[in-house]
Amino acid sequence: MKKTKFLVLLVLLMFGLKGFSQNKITGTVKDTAGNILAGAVVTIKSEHSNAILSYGTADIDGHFSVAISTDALNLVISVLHLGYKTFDKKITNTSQNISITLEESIEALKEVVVTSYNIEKKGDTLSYSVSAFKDQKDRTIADVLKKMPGIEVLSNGQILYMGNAIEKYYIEGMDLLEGRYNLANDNISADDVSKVQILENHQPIKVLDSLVFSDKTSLNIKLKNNVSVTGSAEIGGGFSPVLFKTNITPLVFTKRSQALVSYQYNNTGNDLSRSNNDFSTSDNLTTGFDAVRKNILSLRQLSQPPFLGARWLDNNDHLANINYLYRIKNATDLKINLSYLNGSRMDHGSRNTTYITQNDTINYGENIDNILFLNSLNSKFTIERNQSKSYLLNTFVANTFWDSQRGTIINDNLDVSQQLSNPYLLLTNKLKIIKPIGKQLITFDSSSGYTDTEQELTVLPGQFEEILNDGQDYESNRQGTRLSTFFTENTVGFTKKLGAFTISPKAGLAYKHQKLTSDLQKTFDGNQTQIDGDYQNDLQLANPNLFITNHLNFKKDRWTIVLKSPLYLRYFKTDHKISSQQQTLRRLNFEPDLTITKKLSPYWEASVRGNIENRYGEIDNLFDGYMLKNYLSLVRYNSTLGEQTNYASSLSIKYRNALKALFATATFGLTKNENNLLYNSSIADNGSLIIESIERDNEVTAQSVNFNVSKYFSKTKTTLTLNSRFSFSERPQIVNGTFGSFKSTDQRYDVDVKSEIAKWFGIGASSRLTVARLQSTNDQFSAIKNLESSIATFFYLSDHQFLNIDAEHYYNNIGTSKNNNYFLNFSYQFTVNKYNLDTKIAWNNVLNTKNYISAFNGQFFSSENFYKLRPSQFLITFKFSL
Amino acid sequence: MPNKKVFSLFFLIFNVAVFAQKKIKTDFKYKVTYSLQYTLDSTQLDSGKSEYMVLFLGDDFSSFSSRAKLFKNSVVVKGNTASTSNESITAFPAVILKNPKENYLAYTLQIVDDYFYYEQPSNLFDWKIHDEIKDIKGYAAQKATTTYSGRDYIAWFTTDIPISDGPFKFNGLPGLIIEISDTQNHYSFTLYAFEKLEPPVSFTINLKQYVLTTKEKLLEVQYRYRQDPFTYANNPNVKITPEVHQAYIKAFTEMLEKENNPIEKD
Repeated sequence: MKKTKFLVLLVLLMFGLKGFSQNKITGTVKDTAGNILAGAVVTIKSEHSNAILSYGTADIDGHFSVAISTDALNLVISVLHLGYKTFDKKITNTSQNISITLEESIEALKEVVVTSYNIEKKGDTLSYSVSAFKDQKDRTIADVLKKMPGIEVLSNGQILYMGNAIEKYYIEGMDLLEGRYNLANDNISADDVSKVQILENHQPIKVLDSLVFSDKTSLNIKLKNNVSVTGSAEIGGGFSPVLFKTNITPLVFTKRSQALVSYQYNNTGNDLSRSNNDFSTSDNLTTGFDAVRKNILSLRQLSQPPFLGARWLDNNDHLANINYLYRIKNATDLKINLSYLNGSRMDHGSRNTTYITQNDTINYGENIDNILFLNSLNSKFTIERNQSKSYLLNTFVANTFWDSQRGTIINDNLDVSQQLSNPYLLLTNKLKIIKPIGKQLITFDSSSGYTDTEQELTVLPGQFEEILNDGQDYESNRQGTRLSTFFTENTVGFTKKLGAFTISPKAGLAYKHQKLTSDLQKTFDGNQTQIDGDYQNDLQLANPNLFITNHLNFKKDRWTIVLKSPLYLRYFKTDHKISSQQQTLRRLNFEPDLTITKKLSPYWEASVRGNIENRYGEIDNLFDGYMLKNYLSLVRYNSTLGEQTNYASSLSIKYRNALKALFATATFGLTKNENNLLYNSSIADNGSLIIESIERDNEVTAQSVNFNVSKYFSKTKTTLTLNSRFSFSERPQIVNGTFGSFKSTDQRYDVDVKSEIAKWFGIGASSRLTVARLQSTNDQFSAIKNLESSIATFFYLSDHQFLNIDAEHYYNNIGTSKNNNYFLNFSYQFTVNKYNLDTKIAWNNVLNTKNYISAFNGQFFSSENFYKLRPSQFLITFKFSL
Repeated sequence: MPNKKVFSLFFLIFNVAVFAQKKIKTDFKYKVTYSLQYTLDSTQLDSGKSEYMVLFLGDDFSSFSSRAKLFKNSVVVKGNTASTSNESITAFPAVILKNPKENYLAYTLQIVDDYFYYEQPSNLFDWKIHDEIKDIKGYAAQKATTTYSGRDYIAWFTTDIPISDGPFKFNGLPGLIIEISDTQNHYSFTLYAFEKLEPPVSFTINLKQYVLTTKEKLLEVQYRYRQDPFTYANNPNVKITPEVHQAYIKAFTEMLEKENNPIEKD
């Protein structure tokens, strides 16, 4: 009612000032059935004109009131409402009340239909045009991309859009490098690019376009010219010792083909084995076979420091890359990607380990010197046919590694030298076909592969004289082992949307066959003999799987429900040729995974998740003959196939108030793992370790709580983040024949402040405190406290100059031992426009800190690590475009 | 005492659900397309830009937004056919909901994953009707003028389409506004199409899921986001080097400084 009064007042005000006589026409509007017609428009015209003099609207009760200020004698009142015939009536210019009834009408309104839209001239499409973002010091397209709205380039080269990894990185619509796009991104000269297209909701498979919605984003790099030769080169040097790095990457693009060739070298701590990083977001296999390389035998290595390789990685890496794509007719691409890596790494340092057994505490020190040689050739051949009627992708991969390592361990009592050769071969073929069958699009996936590794570890002198040589010293051990695996997985499935539900059922068959052999030799008095019996392995594991899975997605209103419901029929057969042990196992597993999320209000969101999963032992923890896995460990698993059932549940509550820039999350998690095996670790006085598995049902439980709060202060442009985590876990373990329950309690607290105080100055500081406590039924281990603090300052001296100073402090405390590490680093960058050259000067480890010291607790040991760092070093790098 | 805390937490979580009743449901029966010519940078008046804007009309509610917003909606356009392109980019990301019968207007805005809105009465305009009549695309349109938020406007409405609505926040005339422009011609909406939706398109919006705020506060948040989306998003998985971050803020601040000529001047 108030609104109407206001409206009336408004109308009065509008027309009241004219000084004409004020007449008021009031009334109600109804339809023929007597229903009120709110919103009906009432207009008053003079008798002889089409121009409206005054007007009103029927309110919710159907009432209208129109004030008239004209001296015309006769007026026409018209009442209009969508879907009704217009009511027209001649009236006299006097105040009056009229009841109006409108008749329904089927007459359509006159339409103006669009035939086509003109090109819109929109605001600066800042997200597309490279020139809008590029400034003089930007050399490569990566430099420009980093600045584009929503796009982030992580330090490892991965590109994120709105926080999510991008799906494809196209150059002129072609996907030359797939997930290894950082090679192109880091090297295409920004000057050769005209546009970067952000393809939101991009569905790369044409046959799925407009059928399967994609929430992924891809990027397309548009070049200025049809035929482009681009690329970049970098050269740098420094001391001490002599440092050198180089990178030459030319690229050639034509309409039909693309090529990228690259050579890189450095001894400055940049790990080139990682520059092959593949950021593909492709889906994994259902049965979870991963072709990840496994080292069965190893040298004892040191744990690596948690900071940039330039400060610790003592490397010498060469990497060559050849990538070629050719587009033939029928939207078919052929691709070859080859890369060859040759490198070496040095590992220097020492480790003090304290083993705690029932009766004793054993201290064991090692000075470790390792050198690792890497040598590998990776090749990939791809054919992709992407048509609107069907899709085919076949990828064949052949990767060969000829790696070897050697090292020495020295302490008061011994001087051990070790040698390991660990070559590895991987062959895989993946085929994906999407074809319409009837009205449904069916996806076929087939993946098969073969891996083979033949490893050999030599330890000199022999370390297990009690067990292996009747207590007498002997010269050496040589452990040989070979593991080969064949696997195949074939699935068929489809996706369908039914209202708020999306279902994706899939059925498949997988088969895996593995063969592991090993033998142990010793050399005593110049005679090399094979140790028989318990020290040999020849076993096979066959594992066929049948499965049906479904992925159900429900999204409506404030609810999101995701249910994965795979059903597996698993069969395992193990055959130990030497011990004549055989085992067969058949399991039917239902492994549901349910996540329910509800948005409680604009600020609060709650989600719960629960899942069940089964895991089975792999062949490399199934062998029943001892293997010398490293110079200190003899391991065997003389038991049945490991079976583990994991139950996990979590609850998380999120608060997000963007108005106040305040965000908070709390997460509670509970997990329980039921196992059929326990591991017995026997530790001898010389630190040597024998691990055996024992059949005994047991469970491991863990609980954790996480809190995260962050707040942005607009006035000081500062973000403050607080994090804490508490976790508690309990697991049984047998050490030296005694059964014990180990409880570990961990606490972690983080504080982080970032501030862009002024245009020329920014600062970031963070600190992390962790406290780890381990406790067994019998023993209390000393707690480990770690405190890491860092402060980084940034000075933006001018558009072409940038200075960065970092300081770090690492502190740890275990028992009575306290360690402090301090670091200081400088880096200064400037661009010389005249010569089109970027120059970067870095001075790392200014304080020349020698070691990085870390400490951690295991179930029956605590350990302190000293890792030898790169000395104080100075490096100057020039980068220019080709 | 702890009970009280738990209670207040629950209260905090559920209070919005208890008090607000803001679920809007309507069927859109007509679609009006306007062509908008605009100038965001008053120092470069010849740099006129254009965009298509869309007004959907239902019995109770109307919804006004850039046509680009339609491409953002996965239900309207699937796959990469349109949402991938320039077409989904807009200088006007807001969606304006109007219900003149209830004298209600809601200005809604999505920023990343946050949804905001502020409310206003819809009768914001003090219209003066003039005698002039002209033909616009076959509709008889009459002239009306008003002053709003620092600009004088000339509007043309038609009773041929008896719906008291219009582009942007404009409404309150006895018929659809099919042309409206400020006297400086910085913002000018002209009718491009008027179509009946057959069948009607059902529309639901639950403002309970939106953060209710004020116009001033919303402008502040929007500015904060556009100047530094990186800090705004607060995604712990996203890392950026401080050097790039600074360059980034600088570029956005410069861009925002150029946008000195918004449609609403106050």
